[in-house]
Amino acid sequence: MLAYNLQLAWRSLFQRRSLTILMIAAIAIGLGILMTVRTMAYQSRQLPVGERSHDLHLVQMDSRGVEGDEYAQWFEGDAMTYRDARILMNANTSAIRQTYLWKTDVIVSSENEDIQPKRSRTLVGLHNFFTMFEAPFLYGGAWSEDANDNAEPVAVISKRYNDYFFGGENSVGRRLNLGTGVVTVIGVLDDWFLSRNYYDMSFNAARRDDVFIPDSLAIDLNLVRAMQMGCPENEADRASDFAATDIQGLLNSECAWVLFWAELDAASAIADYRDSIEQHMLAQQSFGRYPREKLTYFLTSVAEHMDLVGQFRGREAFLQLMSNLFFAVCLINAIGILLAKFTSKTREIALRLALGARKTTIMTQHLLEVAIIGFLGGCFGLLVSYLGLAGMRSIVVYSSDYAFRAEEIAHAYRLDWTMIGSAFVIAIGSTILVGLYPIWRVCNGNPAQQLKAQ
Amino acid sequence: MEIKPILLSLKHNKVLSLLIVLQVAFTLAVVSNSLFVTTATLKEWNLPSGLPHEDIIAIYPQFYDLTVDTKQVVVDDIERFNRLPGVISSTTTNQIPFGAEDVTNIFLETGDEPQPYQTNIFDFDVNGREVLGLDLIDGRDFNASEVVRSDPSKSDTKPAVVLISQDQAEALFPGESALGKTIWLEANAQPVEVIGIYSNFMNGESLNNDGMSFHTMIRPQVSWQRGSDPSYLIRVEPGMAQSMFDDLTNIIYETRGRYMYAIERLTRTQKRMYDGRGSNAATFMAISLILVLITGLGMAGLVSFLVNQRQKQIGIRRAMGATRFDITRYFLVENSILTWTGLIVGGILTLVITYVLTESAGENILQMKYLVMVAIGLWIVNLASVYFPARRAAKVDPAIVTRSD
Repeated sequence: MLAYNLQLAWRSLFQRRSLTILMIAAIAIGLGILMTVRTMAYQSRQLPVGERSHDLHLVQMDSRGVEGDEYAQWFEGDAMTYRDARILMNANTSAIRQTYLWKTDVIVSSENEDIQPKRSRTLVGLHNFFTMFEAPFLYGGAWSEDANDNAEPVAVISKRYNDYFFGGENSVGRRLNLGTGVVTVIGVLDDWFLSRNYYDMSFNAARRDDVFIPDSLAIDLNLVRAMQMGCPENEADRASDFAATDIQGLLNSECAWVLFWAELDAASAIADYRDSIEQHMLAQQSFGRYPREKLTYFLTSVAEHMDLVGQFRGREAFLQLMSNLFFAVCLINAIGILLAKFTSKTREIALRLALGARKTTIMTQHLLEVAIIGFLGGCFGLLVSYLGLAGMRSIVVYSSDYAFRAEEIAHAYRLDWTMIGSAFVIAIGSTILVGLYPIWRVCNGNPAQQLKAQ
Repeated sequence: MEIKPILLSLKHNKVLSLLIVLQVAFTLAVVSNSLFVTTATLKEWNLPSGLPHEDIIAIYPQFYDLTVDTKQVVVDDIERFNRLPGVISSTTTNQIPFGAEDVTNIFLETGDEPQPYQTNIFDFDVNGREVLGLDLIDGRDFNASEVVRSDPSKSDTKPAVVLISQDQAEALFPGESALGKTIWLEANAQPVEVIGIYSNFMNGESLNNDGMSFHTMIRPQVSWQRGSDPSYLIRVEPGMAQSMFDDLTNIIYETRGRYMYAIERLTRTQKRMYDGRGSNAATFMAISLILVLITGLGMAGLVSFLVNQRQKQIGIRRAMGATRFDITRYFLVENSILTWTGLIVGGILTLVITYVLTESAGENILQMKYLVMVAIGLWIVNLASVYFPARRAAKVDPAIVTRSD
């Protein structure tokens, strides 16, 4: 019976072919634009490290003086002071791992003068950065724990840099200049996929770090601190010196500028960790620090950060609203087309009903026809959204003045199976929904009246 | 006109009428809101630059070897640039036109809470005005002895005079001459005297967006400081710019211990300044156009359906003496009634959406004249899409009544 219905539905598709095509086109274009925007939203909400996004926590403590309003949300707060980071690193806490990091811009040059220098986005951190944030190694490995403190001149470089400076060979043991300092390559990272650069809180989808060096080395070389300096009022005017030159002043200051991460895998660990932070802050209070009446700190996971980042604002929110309305218009269009299509068949249906065909059979047949249209609309809609996403991607690349290549942000504009599946669910579901009224109408005509006209 | 019979006939086609109304309403909401956002996006877009930006090159070098004698290198660079054939003039700068993001608050008075005015301060060497091709409108230019050369982290010497742009002068001293006036570059500190006024040039997106596109100030200062090395602006003979990149790059790399972050014509900086907004606007408008097209096609489809359904009715009317024009008009009037109902509903919907958008953007984007324009435009599109099926209807043969089918 189903096969018979399918056959009838299929045949019916080809009656009044232009209307069928028009309807498929309307659904395809509406769905294409809808899925383009939905995919962008969906991809920007993706958690960068899967389930561990719930475990990796950023730690912030409000070390300001008494001036200014209380911070109510984590994103209002500053990073962490270097002093606090050092103390917490050595404290016995419930965290599986802890690390801190900061960023610098450094000019990397080769001993081979034919290779032009590059300005690199450089991560300054500790040896456990690579395990904590799952950076894969191609050659060599991370520096030792000792190098965290003894300013050993070593660096881990990205695959991109290894290709550029060393032609892709295993460069472990070779030398590079970082500014005026000389370092030995100790490890080369493999391709490292990150949907967004979450660990430095830039959430950039395209730009990746190319050089990774130990904290003590960067301090030794006095590399520029490319971080936001959250300084208390009495140190605010020294902030730019702190960032560029006065490293000792910065390390002893109350300016918050390093990002501190703790990996906490259970609710109890989080609660214990909160206790440790509070104890630490209270202990520091006895040295005259943390003068604010209320001790404020934030412990927020990557998942929470992504929640905020993934919220569509401005242009995207507007596009989202518009694409929904757009799809609605296309569906309304589809109702009109279906009505036109089915009404031309009222006589045929009246005849079938008069000959004893069951209403449910006729309904099923038309539902099948509508579902096929929805399916075809879904197929072409996916094609449209594929083109739409490629278009949006080129627009972003173009409007950034080619600061990055299209492939580098491709992942933010990619259709995956979840999106493809939901496209078909939306396409078939909504066409059946809008098909209900026309089908009901065509099956409930008065057969006698229709036949009388013959 | 047959308004009453049309209304009666619409009552028989409630669903179809509702569909048309809704479709028109949503289309109006999408198109007019896109237009609002687009015009808001394109505000202050592609304004005249006031510069021969085709013939100005910007270079962004950066020192990483801290032992380099920056002060001397800066002097040498300028000399080497100027010796290159094709170079007219060059200057150091702290900001680049079209890309100036450092907004400074300046003051016209001292006191507890003096009123701040916003500007972009450009630190130029003595021939900065010549490089940018700015006309001196009033007063005088500064001379070489007035240029302060220093590392601001080590020296407290500050320039005593400045030049300001025409628009800046008008904003600070409306209706009077700005010459000889005193401006404080920080609250209660750094007083400077205005000695000249020059023709406007574009600053950058941050002030441009706030309607202060040409608010600039030129300060005679060459400074170098770790982390903020000076950039260069180089004016070259017309059309020469692109061919000089290699020579200029070589000059920069003649000094070891430095890195050139970028070299580009100001044309490109200008393009970058407007690109993001331009392409956003284009996206919105493209979506709107497709939507209008779909609505038009949908409308044509619906009316053909109505025409088919009413063959007999039309035949009867024709047989009873209605002219072809009467028939066409019937469909046009019927569609106009529906369209305008949709436009009213859509107008309300648009206002609601605009209100929400305005709330979240903190800026009123509603422009009634565009709403009316879009509404009339949609009506015309609908009339056009109805016209063809309606003409087909008018061709129905009156003899059809005599046939049973």
